[in-house]
Amino acid sequence: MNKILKSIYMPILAVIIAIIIGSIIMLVTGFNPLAAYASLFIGAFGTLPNIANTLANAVPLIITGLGVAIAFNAGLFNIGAEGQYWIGAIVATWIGYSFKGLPWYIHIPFALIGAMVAAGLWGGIVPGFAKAYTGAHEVITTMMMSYVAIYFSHYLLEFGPMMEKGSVPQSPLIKDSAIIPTILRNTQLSYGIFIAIAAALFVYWLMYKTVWGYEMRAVGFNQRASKYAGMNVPLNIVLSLSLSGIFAGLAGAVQILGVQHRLYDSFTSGYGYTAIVVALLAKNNPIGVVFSALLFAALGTGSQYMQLNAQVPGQLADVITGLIIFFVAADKIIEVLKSMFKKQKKEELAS
Amino acid sequence: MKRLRVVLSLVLAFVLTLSLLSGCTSKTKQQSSQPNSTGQASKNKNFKVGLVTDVGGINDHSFNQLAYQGIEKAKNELGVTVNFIQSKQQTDYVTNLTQFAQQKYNLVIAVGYLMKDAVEQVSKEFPDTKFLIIDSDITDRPNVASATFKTEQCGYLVGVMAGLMEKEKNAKLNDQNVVGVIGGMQIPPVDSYIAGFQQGVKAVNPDTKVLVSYTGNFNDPASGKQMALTQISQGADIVFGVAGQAGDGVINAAKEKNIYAIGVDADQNYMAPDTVMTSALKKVDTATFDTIKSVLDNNFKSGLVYFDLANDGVGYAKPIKDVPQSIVDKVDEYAKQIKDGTIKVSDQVQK
Amino acid sequence: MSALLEVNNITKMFPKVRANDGVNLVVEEGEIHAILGENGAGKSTLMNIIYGLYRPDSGELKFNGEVLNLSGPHEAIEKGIGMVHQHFMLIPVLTVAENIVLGAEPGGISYNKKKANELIREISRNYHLEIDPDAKVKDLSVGLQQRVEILKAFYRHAKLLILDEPTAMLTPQETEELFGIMRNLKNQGISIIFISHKLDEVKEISDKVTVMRRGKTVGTLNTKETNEQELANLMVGREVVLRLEKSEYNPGDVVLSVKDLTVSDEQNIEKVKNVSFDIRSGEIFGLAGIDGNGQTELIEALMGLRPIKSGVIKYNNNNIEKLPTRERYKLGISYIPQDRQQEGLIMKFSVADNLILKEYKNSQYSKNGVIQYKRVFENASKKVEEFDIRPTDYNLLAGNLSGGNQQKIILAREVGSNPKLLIAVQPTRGMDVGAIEYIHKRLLQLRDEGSAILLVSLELEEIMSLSDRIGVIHNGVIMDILDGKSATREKIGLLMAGSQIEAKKVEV
Repeated sequence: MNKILKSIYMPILAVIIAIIIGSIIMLVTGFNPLAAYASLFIGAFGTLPNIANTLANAVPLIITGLGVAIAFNAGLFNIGAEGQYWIGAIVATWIGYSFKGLPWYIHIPFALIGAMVAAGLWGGIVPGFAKAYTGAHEVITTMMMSYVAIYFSHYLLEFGPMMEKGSVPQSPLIKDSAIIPTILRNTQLSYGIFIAIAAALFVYWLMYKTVWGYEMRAVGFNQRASKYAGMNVPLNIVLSLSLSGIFAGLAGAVQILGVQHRLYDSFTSGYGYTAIVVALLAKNNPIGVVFSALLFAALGTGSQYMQLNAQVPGQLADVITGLIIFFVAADKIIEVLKSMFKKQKKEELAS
Repeated sequence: MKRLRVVLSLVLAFVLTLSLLSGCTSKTKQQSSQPNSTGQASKNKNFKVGLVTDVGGINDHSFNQLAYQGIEKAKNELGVTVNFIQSKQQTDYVTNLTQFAQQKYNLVIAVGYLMKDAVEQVSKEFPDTKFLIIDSDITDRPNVASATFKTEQCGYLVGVMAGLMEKEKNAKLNDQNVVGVIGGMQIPPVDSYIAGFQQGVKAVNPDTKVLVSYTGNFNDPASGKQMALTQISQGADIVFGVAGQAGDGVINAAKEKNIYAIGVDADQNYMAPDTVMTSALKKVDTATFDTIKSVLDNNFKSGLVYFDLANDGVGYAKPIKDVPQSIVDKVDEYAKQIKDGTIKVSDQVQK
Repeated sequence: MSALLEVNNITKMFPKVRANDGVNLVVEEGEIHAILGENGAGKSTLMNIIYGLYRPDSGELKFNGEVLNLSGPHEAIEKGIGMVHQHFMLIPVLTVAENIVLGAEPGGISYNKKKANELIREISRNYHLEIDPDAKVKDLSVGLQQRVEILKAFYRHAKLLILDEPTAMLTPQETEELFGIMRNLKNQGISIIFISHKLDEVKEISDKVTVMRRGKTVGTLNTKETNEQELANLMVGREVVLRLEKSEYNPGDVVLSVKDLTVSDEQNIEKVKNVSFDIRSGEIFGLAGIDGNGQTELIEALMGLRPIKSGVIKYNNNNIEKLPTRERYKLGISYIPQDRQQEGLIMKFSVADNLILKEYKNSQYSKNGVIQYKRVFENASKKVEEFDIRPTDYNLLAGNLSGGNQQKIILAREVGSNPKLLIAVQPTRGMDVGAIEYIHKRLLQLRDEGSAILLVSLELEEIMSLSDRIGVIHNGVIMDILDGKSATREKIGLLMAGSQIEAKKVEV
């Protein structure tokens, strides 16, 4: 228990400091922070539909965040989760609209698994093998693969093979049999949330209870010692990048089947990048990912509501989000501040 | 540690006090932002209009911004209450539209074809709320109006102006008789402008060569600039950018090479006052204002609503001094012929 | 002689630890005074107090009869106290002269190179510390770098020189040179505090020894009047067995047989050349040699961590040179790698996880790919107790344990699995007397139980006291294989240096 408290203590402190600084900024720019935070909170958790929308927004962040966390645990920086998300979304969409007459219990798993396999190959094969056997840095390769995926989606949707008839660059709607149903009317919350939570539990189990997770973490912490212990280091690199891609792809698929129901032409979903911060905030703990994704989702939905009801511009919510990221990433700064206080106290005692 | 807690709580208390104080001030400020209470205005105060932007946000120099100007105008002239939310990602659309509908807004405006699915979904759930979607084609809902702009008409008029200018002589014009148009993506809303432009030029100056190229995106000014520079090197001395933010690069290139540019959607003269000789206007502000008025007057029409020269839904911006009055008169003459049907403008690009 | 430095009843508290507890020390002019103690006994804390890095909580320092109240090292330097840290504080890209004068440059604002070089030449002549002032520090050997550190102290007119574990990084030859320098300095009236946990060195070089244990000084002795056994007992606080009694040499079948093995490094330079040797069960085969003569490549080849160029490795009469590392472990080979933190352990894994680093896949600890943590913890608590790993909480990260206890984790894993062949590379490096005694005891016990052991060590003492047979490697070649009982230090030393002929002469 104490251990858990200790591990969430720093992130919470980071959030509190960000809120305080955000308040100061709002005061300076002439907004009422109390009203703003109140509406931020109501927007995120105030009503049942708002809670549902917060949960809905958390779904892609949880699953993509898990993917990034797996790679982090293996000592790899998968910055290309965005591209793997796109690959998953593309494949899920294609399976979703191309196959007619399948029952839902085949169509949905088919789309999800197809997306996972494609994204796993996307993340694992090229960047994984490049890293494992030539040492090419995964930050570069995953990012480049990400661009390829995104531009590939542009090609598909802008008068390409996946464009719906008409003038709008978007895919056809997926068939009803591929739609993951909504839990609460008038919200975006689908049963995908259960997939997300199951995924988190699965990843936790995988990383901390299985031989495979043991190996991936060992390779992540110390490649040399892992090699000396007889582990196949390159294989583990490929596998962990693939697994990372599989989850990013699952996120894209769940989002398509549960929320969007078709693929739109846009430059970025943003989930792949936010997921990096989500994983960092969670210190790569799969269960922590659920909570940090919820925090970011709450900031997202809450900030829309804040615009509407406290007339605070959405950008200010971005500022607060940014501050949280800053303080989390820089929790060393907080540690330094803490030790400064401590030192001062000690010197007072000494003199 | 204790000391840190003390400091934190002091800061917190300080922020709370300040926010209580500012709470009073910001309330008065909100009131002052209400419209001047003329008789009619106070009657319309309970009429609420909500605007949901797409991911471009209200400062996009284009249709989101124009839509915002439209509702601001309605607030000032009609005394209605207006509010807006800027969407951050595509999955926000449904949430944001629902947010307004749930709060019993009388009219909810969705900007852009990307929101089509969201409007279809939400309008079904809230049959008592009226919706306006810009640039789309929803026809089967009694409570949804789709604003469609005949931009080939304004494209034609600026084409006429460009064709006539090619016969003029001044420092910015060469004698090669070439003009250029740069599109974003090859999609109908862009192509209608280009088609009109081609026909307009040919109508007054059949020998003029019209170069056509596409950047392939709407968000990269550098690519627009590159395209424009290529056309300029081929002799173009008037360039027309129909490419969103990529079009900013077109204007930039024209300014740098000291030739003329034609703006699009909004009056873009402010971006380069000596360079942008006119702009082809797509009056989203007019469309939003008119629709608000029609709902207010119980005159709402669902389905496709066309905005063209006849109802002042499209047009051209007041040209700069370099354009002789004789040419402006000529352009107006063509405008009249389009209005009365003498000239029919096609929206198909000539290859 | 009069006292140069007096330390009276110094106490220094750290959170939870009394690092120095009523410490007393007197260092006289022109004496070499050794401070002996195990890791964590408080030697470094005491030195940092003398050097002004820490302030004592209570007690008094006197230097030249004057009470010192140091606010930092700069004041200590001013008074004439110099210190050479275990890890050098040099800037590799600068020259020797620049490093020495750094922070106290002659000639005001603009650096006067000529004058600096002159000054340094003069000092090095006076103290017999020859060095080229214009050489870049990064091009110097560890021994010479240490010399630069010493010069730095004398450039600042040190009267008292503190050497913190100065021999830890040196080769035996460099150690001898350092001792020569120390004797020289002593003759010129310089006092030296020599910190070490190596008994033989202390015995060889010091005039007096102060032994520390758990933050306290437990006694000061005249070196001449004591012996290694007494010092070791004082240090550890109990009777220590320095030279373990070996039972009768009773070799069994050949377990490991290496024939004509040749191994190259990454640059394709041959590091092991046509090496052949056998190790039998119930025997410790010591591999002696100066660091970097092919030991690393040989061991990595034996473990399957490095491809071989040619030759045969047989284990229990089966060829294993093509087997991957894990398969070799499965056959009952254990391996204690040289660098415990980089190669032997995963510092961010718990003790329990580290204890199964090689066996997590075995049916003992995992079923259908799921690790059976109940068994892992059972194993951990058993091993923690058996190998006296402290603290006893096996959920702690390995990185949070002391070096000695980290080594015990590896020992528990590698020795505790009852291997048929154990390859131990420098198993006692950086350990203190108590831990060394323990590890040696374990190795001998394993031998008596019938395992074959390949012991690679740079410590001749260790090789000679444990090995039944000794192979000496030089430049990738096994120079000779000697009988452990009759081999002499001198002969092994000559073989290590590559001189076969000289060694033959000794034999005659």
